[in-house]
Amino acid sequence: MKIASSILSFFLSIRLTVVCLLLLSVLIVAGTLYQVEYGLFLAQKRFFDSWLILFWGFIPFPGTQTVLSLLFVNLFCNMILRFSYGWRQMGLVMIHMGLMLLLAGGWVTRQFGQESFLSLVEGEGSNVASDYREWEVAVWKEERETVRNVTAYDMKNIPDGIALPLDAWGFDLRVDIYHDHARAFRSTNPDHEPRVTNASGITMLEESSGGYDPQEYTPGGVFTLRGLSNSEEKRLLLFGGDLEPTRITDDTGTYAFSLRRKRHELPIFVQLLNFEREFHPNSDIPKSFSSLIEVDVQGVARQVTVEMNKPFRYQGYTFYQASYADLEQGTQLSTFAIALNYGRIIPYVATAMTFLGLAVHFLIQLYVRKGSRDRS
Amino acid sequence: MLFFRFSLFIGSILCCVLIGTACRDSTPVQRQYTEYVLAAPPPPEDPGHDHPHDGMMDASLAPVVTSPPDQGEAPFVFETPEPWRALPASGMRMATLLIDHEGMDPLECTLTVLGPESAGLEGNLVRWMGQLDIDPPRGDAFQRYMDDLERMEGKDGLQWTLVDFAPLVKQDDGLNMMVGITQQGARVLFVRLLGPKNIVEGERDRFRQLLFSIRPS
Repeated sequence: MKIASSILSFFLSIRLTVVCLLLLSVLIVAGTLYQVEYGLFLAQKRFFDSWLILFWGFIPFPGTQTVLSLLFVNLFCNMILRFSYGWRQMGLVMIHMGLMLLLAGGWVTRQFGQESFLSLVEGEGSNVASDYREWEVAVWKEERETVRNVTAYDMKNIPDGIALPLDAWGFDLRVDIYHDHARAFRSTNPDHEPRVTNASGITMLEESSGGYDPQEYTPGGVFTLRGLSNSEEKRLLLFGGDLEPTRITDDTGTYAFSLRRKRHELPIFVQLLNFEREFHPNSDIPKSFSSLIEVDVQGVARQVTVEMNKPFRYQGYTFYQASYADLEQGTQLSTFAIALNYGRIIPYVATAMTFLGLAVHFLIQLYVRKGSRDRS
Repeated sequence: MLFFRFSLFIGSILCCVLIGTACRDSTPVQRQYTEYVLAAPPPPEDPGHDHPHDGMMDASLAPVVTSPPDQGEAPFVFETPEPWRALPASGMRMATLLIDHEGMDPLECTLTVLGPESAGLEGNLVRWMGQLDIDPPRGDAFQRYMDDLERMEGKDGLQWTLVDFAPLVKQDDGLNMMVGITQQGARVLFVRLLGPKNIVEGERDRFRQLLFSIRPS
């Protein structure tokens, strides 16, 4: 009973709130400094996505997840156990609820949010966006030029030796070797008979140490395709840098195999109609750039302009104008960063609730003090 | 009553965590989706090439649906100096050459073909100096620096401008870059070698050998 009481006092303590806020400040400063050298991804992973950090490899320090969870429990405990729920506490309850909602919104975004990108040349269109860091093995039967019925497997943490069944076509793909980051080589010997099939003529892979951010990785792997109609086994070398899928033909048709960035299906089809940019006078520094896109939702098309700081939103998706590139012959390529965030509205509601709570609390305090002054 | 409510609350959090952990299955999950591909119309002329260029795009964001660069149609041909190794064309790069050194990742020498508007020497120099953390010379000194850059004639009359930042890199173990730039019609070829100053210095002869081997296809 004594232990339970101590635990409860710990979670109810205002000191815990203060310590959590101080720890958060330290984490934010440390993460900001860390990202200068190691980049945003690693800083986020080490400081903000972690439960425990080891400074200099041995000094333990709570990660942001731990601190925010403690703060959430602290706020919740105070709200349900400490408050008397009279009208005088109404403002405080609202403030606590707003802050808890803010923390819950962060959790929703972290758990269910999705970030991807879509690069389109003028005239090009697609209904799938590419992940920044995760990759997939995608297989489809080549039947129609514009439609692919894709079967895909995520390659994150995929173990060597596992078989990936492709039941729709009656064969499977065994992962012989897979490297998250690889270098690819072609044979320099023209008489060399390659033992693997690859669209770019690559014959060998080598694991690469890579940089800090998996976004820069190019994976590669060797796979064995089993169960073709001619009972033949084929060894495929798939490389993330291949610009074309590796194609295999048997009696039933031609199949395409591609190791590519994981695709996320969008609820809309997006076609880039035109890209425009404007430069600052006498410089190569872009002042603004914008894309005119046609958005097709279940057969109904409409045109939308996406500009810097003027994203296009559809359901939970937000399309930001991220970057561009010039192609030869005057055509241009536009890249959109796409964020799917189901909790997008939560911070607005939480902030409004906190603000309202502060206002209510202030007015109640004013009323109470005025009342006691009048009485005296 | 207070303890009961508190235990209930802690218990529900633990249950949620346990259920969440159990739901994370490590076996590969098959996904199926339909991808609609609308290809861009072919450009009006010279439809064999579609190398993206310009500085704002990350190479990793290169378009997914593009035709593969045909080695036979590359605008320039070159010979790889021994013992450098050549990687296949990828994204904006016509080629990447790897230079092995013990105890470190291989150095990369890249050959990139861009459009004529990318040829502005001053803008490129400032950008590269920024990458190497070098303060650009001010005012007239910058013009003199550009005028003093080495120029040479390569194969088939290609006019090369050579940039070597070594004199401007103060630390011996600092990063240095050697760049060769040439223009053939509407195409500008950049050959860049980036790495530790002393190692780049050691590869100078092979770098020049590479430049002398390059000719329009």
